[in-house]
Amino acid sequence: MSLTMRIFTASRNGQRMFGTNGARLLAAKRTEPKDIVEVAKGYVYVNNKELSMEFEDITDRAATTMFFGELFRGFGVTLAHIFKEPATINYPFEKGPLSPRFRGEHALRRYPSGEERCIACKLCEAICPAQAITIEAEERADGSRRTTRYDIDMTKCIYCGFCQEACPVDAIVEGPNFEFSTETHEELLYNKEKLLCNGDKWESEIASNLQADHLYR
Amino acid sequence: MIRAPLVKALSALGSPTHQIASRAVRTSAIVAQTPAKAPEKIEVFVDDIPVQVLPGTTVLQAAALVGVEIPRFCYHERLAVAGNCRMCLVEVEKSPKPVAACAMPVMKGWRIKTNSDLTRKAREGVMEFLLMNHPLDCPICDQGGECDLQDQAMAFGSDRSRFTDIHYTGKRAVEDKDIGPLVKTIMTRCIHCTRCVRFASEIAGVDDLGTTGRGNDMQIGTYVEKLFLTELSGNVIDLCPVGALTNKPYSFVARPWEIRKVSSIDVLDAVGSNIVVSTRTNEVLRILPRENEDVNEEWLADKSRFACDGLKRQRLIAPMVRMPNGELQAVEWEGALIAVAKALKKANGQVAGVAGQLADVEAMVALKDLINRLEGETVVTEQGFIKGSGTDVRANYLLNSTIAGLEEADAVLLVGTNPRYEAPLVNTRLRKAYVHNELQIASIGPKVDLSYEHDNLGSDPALIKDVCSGSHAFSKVLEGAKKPAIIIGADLLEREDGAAIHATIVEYCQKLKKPEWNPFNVLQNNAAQVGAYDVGYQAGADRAIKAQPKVLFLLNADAGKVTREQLPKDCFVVYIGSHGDNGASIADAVLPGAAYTEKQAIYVNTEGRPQQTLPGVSPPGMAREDWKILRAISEVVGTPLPYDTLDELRSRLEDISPHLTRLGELEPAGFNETGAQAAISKSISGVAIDVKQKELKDYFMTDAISRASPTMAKCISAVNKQQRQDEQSKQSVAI
Amino acid sequence: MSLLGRVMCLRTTSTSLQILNSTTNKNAFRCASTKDTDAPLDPKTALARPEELQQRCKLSETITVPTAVDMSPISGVPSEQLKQRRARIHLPPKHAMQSGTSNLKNWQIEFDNRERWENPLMGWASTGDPLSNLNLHFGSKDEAVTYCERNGWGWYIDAKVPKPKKQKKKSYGDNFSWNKRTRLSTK
Repeated sequence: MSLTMRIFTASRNGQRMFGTNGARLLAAKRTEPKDIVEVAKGYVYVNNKELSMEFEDITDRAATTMFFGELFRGFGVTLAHIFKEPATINYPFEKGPLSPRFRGEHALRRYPSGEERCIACKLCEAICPAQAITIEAEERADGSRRTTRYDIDMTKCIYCGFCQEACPVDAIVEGPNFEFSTETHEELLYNKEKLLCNGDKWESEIASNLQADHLYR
Repeated sequence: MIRAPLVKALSALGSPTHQIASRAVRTSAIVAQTPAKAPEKIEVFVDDIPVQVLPGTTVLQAAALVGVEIPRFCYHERLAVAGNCRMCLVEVEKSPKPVAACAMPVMKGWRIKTNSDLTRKAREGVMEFLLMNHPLDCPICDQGGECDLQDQAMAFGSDRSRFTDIHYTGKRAVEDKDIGPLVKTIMTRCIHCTRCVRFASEIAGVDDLGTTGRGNDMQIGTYVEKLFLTELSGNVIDLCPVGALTNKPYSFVARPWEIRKVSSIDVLDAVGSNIVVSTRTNEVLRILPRENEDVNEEWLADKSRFACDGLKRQRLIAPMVRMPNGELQAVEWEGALIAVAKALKKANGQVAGVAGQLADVEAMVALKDLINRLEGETVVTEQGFIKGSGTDVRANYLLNSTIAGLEEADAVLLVGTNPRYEAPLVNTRLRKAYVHNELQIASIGPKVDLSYEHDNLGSDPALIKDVCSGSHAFSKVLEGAKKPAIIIGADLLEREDGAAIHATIVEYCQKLKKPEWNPFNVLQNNAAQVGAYDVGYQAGADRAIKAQPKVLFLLNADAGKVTREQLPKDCFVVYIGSHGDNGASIADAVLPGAAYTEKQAIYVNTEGRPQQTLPGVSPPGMAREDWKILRAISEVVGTPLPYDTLDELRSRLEDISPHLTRLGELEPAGFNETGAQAAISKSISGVAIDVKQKELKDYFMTDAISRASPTMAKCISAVNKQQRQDEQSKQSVAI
Repeated sequence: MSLLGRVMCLRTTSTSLQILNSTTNKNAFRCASTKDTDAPLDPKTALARPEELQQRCKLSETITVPTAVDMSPISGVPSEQLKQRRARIHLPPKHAMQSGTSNLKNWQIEFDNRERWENPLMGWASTGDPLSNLNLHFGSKDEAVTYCERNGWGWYIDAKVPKPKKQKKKSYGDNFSWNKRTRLSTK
């Protein structure tokens, strides 16, 4: 009987997932003959196990239902949490910790001298998978290479952080700010002025984050 | 070294004798070199692939034959072998050291290994040395993304650096040189391949660039502060394998990966150089040459390369009509077309058309068809040609020897032309033949610097008769040559006695001609000229003036040959073109057309090769393609032209002249027909032969586009500055 | 092909059943599989249902597509993008700034240029042309032509027949030859 069943199950494609455990379950503790089909070890039976229909188990289940066992266990959990510290925070007034690698709102940084870092190499524009960055460059009067326009469409941006990875001078960074929602779409089309302004505003945080992370990049 | 005394002895002789003597020596040397039969091929193995090559082939060329590309910096196909970058080192079996593939000729049975451990190690070592003195400024370098050094460092360089000088004490730094308004130099990036030096001295023929110092102190430069001013200076930008020489007007503007490239044709001279137009966001950013062995090899003249910023200035962006108060006012297309149509209705067939320098074949055909439908007959080009019906025979106005053919010429007479500025890339061919083919060149006209040695016979027009009658000394040279050529400037034939000059030379060329070789050449200097003659335009704006038309169409005619005073008072002038220049200023209605980067149009170059431009950007504002404007006018007048699409127009072109749509192919003109003109015999007048473009500063602004270009203006002021400096230094020496 | 395929499928199923019935020895199983060249016996084949095997056979066959197929009615591309567009089939020209040539071997298609305009919002360039960014490479021009025809675009081939390149004689010695004009800078 078990042999025919085995052949039957083995020939059925859908049920060839039997692991050793499942096979043992079905084979009902017989001595195992050599498998015809070699089934790789380590499979886990993931379907619902069938409920046991022993009398003892049936009464156990009925008692749990009748005496609201699960209900009281639930109340217990609730009661226990009253004495625990709350998991939530009072958001606008409290904020959770941020990793130094957190990728929030973009900023363009400056050198301590006040000179903008960005050299218009356009690597961020090239790497941006969402094509959110638009750069136009020109030779500045002093002959240095600078951008005339640096736009990021924040609604296109997917905050992957590739731009700051690509930047050879750490000019474009994704700062720790994540609260920059606006009322209109247009406000989220950042230009160079806005990005530099962000950089000025967040410079200390950005610098300390870069410092904290510099060994790993 | 043994031969040095001989050369010295020759130079000790008087100069004319010396010339002849050295020529004799040269000729004898060439005769001695010419082998009786083709030498036998030898077999070598490149990566175990056998290949048969001629003796004298270099390792690099042999590898190229089997499709193996050996990395190189200094080697360039069109320049002499220098062998100084060492990047092309490859292993040859049984050779103790790796050999420089670019300079080493192959020997029989050599087994070349282009990817062995030794080869790779050699490349890595060379690359390490190069990078040691190369700055790490790729992010701000304009060559970034199209840099041979970057590419080859990725492919053949080491994956890590052994450079430990983190305090930057020993890294080489070189002062930048100012060599003009077109080429920007960042000399620290230079890897001393000397491609630019070789280009300047071999192709451009100006020995301005050179190297000074040696070892770590070696520098490329002009030694004294001097501008590198030649009409071909832009090519050193392409040649430079790193970012040491970059395009100044284009500096920091764009990266190669964000650019769209469109293969097109240059129209600023009559050579029809093949170009690639780089565009981004509906703007032409730069123009690069495209390889075409028959036309421009891979060079491009400076005007063609740098005048592209003229496409953004002085543009006509809206149709305009002259108001009663004499001012042009912008109107809608409808209003402008109706104004033109009204004038045409009134004209009663007294309509004429003048096509200028930049007119394309399609627009010219549309204009001719329109005028013919309105019962007008006068359609002419702005530039003149010989009087009479000289344009009926194609061979009369073409460069019959072909541009590539001139490379094989061995005696050339230039009559009233300065090819150096009228067609710089024809001049490079002549110079190439001069260097490699011992070409002898003489010129009749003013004394100009052609970048190669030539005998200036004088500017007396009587010389033409002398030469053509066989009595002049140079006639002997021409008659003795295997492939002689006479090149006449198109401007010369505009003269009153142009027909006589033409006829005289044609007659002489009948005598000179060889099978498969036509020595008669006219060097045109306008891109539109040959196309106009091909579709049946007549030459000379004076014909249009003589017709006293009621309506005159100026199609891109900006040379200023038609003036308001010459026309009848009530003449209504319609200008169709891209730039607000001479033509638009006298027009009563200005219809904005497209420039050559904005339309798909055919131009025929001076050798008669039709080629087409492709649009890279769309015309600015309300401007439209020229033939569409003419089609619209015909509709409003009530005689619609029978073509609505470019394809239909092209099939009309095919009806007129089938060769026009065989793009890129040369239709040789039958030479025997040229004789028809010879019947008219007029005497050549005594007015001295002159050329318009004598010096470099005359070269930069010759048409509406280059006149609008700020870069070209900068070039002219740079040339003037250099001239002043030269004069000052001469004076100070005199004192 | 399909008939042969079906026969093969039937044979495979029958052999597999046979083996299942007869032997349980792994070694024997291996021997059988090496002997029987027609049906490579791996568990997947051996245990598959007949219809499954048929399906698998069908998938492994090469699909022959009729040569002239016009996809344009079902591709969903708007008709103005089909009727008015013309593809230019060409080989990319060598980049003048670089010496490498390995990216020049594939044929490309490029469509006629359409208008771009400046977007009033930020001044970025806009275009209404969905085909302007199409960048396809083909091994030969015939493949490109087939592709264009299948998609219902007009096309033309813009390529000159390449002339056999004349090999120039290159010699380092030319720089120093005493009787030639090639000796330039050191004269």
